[in-house]
Amino acid sequence: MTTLSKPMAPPSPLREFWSYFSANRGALIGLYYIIFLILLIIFADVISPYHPYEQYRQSFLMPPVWEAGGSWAHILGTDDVGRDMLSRLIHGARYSMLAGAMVVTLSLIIGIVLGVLAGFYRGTFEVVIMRIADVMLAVPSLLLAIAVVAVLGPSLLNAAMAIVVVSMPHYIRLARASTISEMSKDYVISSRVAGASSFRLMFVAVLPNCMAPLIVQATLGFSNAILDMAALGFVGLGAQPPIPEWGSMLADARQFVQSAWWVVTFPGVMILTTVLAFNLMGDGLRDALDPKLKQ
Amino acid sequence: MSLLDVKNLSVHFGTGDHPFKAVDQISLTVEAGEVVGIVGESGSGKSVSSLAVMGLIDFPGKVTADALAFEGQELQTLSENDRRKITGKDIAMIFQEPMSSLNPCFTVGDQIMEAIEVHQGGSRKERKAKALALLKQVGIPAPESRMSAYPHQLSGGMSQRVMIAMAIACDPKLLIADEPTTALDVTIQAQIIDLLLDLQRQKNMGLILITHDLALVAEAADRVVVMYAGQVVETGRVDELFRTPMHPYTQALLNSMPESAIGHKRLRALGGVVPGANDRPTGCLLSPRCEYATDRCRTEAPIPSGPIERQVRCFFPLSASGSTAA
Amino acid sequence: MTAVLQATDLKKHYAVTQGFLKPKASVKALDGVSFTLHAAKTLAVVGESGCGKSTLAKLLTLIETPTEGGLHFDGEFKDVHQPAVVKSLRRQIQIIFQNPYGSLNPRKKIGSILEEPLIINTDLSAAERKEKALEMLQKVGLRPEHYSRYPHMFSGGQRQRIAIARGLMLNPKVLIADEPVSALDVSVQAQVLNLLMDLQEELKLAYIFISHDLSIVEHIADEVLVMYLGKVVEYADKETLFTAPKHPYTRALLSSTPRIHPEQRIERIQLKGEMPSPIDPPTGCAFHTRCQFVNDRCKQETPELITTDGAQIACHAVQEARLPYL
Repeated sequence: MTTLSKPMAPPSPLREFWSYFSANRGALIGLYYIIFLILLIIFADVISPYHPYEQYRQSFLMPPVWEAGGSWAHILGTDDVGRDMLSRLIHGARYSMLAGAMVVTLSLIIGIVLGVLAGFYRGTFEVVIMRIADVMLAVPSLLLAIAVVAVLGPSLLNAAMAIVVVSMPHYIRLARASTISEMSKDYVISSRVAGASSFRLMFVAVLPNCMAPLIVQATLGFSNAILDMAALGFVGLGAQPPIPEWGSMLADARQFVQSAWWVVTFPGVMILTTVLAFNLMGDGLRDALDPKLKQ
Repeated sequence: MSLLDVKNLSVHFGTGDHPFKAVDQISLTVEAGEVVGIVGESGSGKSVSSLAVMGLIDFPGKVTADALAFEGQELQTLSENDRRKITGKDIAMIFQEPMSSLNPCFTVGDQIMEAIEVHQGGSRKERKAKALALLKQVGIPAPESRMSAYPHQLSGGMSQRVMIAMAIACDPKLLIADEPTTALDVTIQAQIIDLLLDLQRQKNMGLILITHDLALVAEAADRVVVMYAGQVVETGRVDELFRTPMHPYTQALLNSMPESAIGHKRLRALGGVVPGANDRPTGCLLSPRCEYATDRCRTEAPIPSGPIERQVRCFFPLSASGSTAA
Repeated sequence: MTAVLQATDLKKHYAVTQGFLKPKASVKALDGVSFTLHAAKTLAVVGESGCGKSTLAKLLTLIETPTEGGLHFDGEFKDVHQPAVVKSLRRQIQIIFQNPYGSLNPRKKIGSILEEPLIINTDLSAAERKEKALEMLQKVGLRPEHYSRYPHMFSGGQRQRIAIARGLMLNPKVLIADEPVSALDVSVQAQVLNLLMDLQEELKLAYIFISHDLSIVEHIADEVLVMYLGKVVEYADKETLFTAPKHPYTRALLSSTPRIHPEQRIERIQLKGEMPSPIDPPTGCAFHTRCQFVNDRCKQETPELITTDGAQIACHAVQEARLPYL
């Protein structure tokens, strides 16, 4: 029997993915910024000049170093009780990113399980799950989150749980839709003919092929989670003082908007850049993972 | 004067150092009332060349030709508007997927009437009568009720009939059918081909039938153009070309058909695949798969030779006995 | 000759909702199909889309359970409603699909695609599985280095080889091939058909070869089952069917199949219209709406499959000998 293939050097999927992803400059910038943030989180205790809770009573509301009255001792100035802004921002990254990671992981896992089950079994089970998801989507997400926190009591963890509940329906819908479209493919039938169990079909054969849109949604969900987290913190239902979460930092400094701009601006800028970085990376991921956009 | 006269048409895709020739210097003539079949495997450039004739190649594709004349009128020098007037009215085209070629939001009647309106005008009543007549002409049962049907309510065969009705709405002089029956069942395929040939004879149209199905071309066409990897490798009258193929590729295609192997256990398959965009060989494009290839074939590219009605792109064309002349 | 697989009066009826508050209708996708498949032989199932051949494939691979009727495997009756029986039968009956681009999981390497059936059904160690997969790759004409590649790196023909290899991993006795070559180019089609025939000889495989292309069926089949709207209309061995087709539908199919060589063409029998919807099948003989030999009996009475001159035929006109001989 003749061997018919010709020798060729096929690119590995990872390399192919990278070549698409790295062609998008915005996505790369987003990725580098996120890596920078992660390094910041890991080495927060080493990098930050002071402890985030330590109050320097000789310098309330000290402006950043380039303003008149600023000092190299506190590069980005201090807040109303004399805590170092830079240290608080660096530690604040921990809470925002951690909350984002927790929210995305939890809602992704629950969303995938429910969505794949709904797409696989169809029928009554699907109807129940999807209608619940529809109802949850019909309520404004922040309102729903506030309601959940009101029941559980305000804290960082409870705020994260509330956001998990709010963002889950998106993953359920997405997972169900891609499962249904993958289920009709011949490779699923040939797995069934080989005798694969329902669990194997759902999570070994079908799920990896549904991951691309879910990964994109998760990245964008990350930025949403950070935003929602900040919003809950801002209205006082998220992290409680003295935790340097960006949203609650913003809220605490509200009254100084006019007298000390830096106390408000820096946490705001951090939220903005982080969310922007995740959105840019999400766009890049979508371009790289969506086969419809490739030739 | 031929109806359609194409000389050395090339279509390039890609930019910079690696332009990819999807169609490489093909020449083709179609006379009025003639059926020309273009056969080739996927990637042979048969569809791209017909799109180039219609002026439907979009950026980044680039079309060049020494001549691209319709009834003696050179199409390349015309303004886009003037060209569209000819390609919409005198040249019509039907495609492989009848379902996706019809707009799902409009009724069959609306779409046919729109095709009439663009090129012929007339009052709504006249157009409606004409559309009805066309549906009758393409053999659609109960045409009155079909006028208000949406494409999804039609079967594949019916949709293709509607496409044909739209194509012949303006009495074209040339009809290009790109795999018109590939998506259809055999008995429906037979109906559609018979319909196309009937209309072609009635209206004395030129018909270009593009397909991968050699047997279909053998039954329907007067002349055949065999394409391989963007090039025309052999042209000739249908009976001659299929009885005594002169190019090794034509011969190999015929040999790999099951009906050529009746009484044999195995088919005589041609090894390998059509070269893709990045792995075109030097010399003759068939040389890596050709059982007769010599060193000359592997280094030097042959050009079409032979009388104008029977051209072969091969250094060693096969003689009638099926072996090379050299 | 040993019968591997025997189907008796297989039926599959689906309930379909016709709309809100309307009663559910029953679609007879398959309505009483019986056949016997022998070891190392090929039974071809022929018919147009909607005739029930895909439903038959689903029943035989036990993806769906029949509404009525039963299967005998190796002479033993198998109760396909019992999960344990289904599990044991699945190792013996495998399937390959038409579209080689959809039948391989795009996220899995060839190695794990081939080994999946072994993981599910056997206790082999990882090393033993790999050895088996490599052996099978070689058997279908692929190379060991293909083991760790992904499906998108292969051409259509190569993918079909991989699909065949996967189907054979459990050493089945029956392989169901659902239009295995109709998505492939002519030259590649011949390679895959040769491979199927080689494997049949080597492994004594029995094939159920589902196809709409009669010229391929003529080459590969030993027996042919012609289906129309869920019913068998003619069941005969290949020689009988191709030299003396009796059922008017078989004749129409044969005459609609294009042929390269003029001497093989038979006079075209043009069928009127299209296959009726299985939701609303005609009374009497399902084919009577398109048949030119129809009479009143055909419109009312459903014909039975009756053995006539070595073939089973369901046609009143054949029984009454009012068909002109071809």
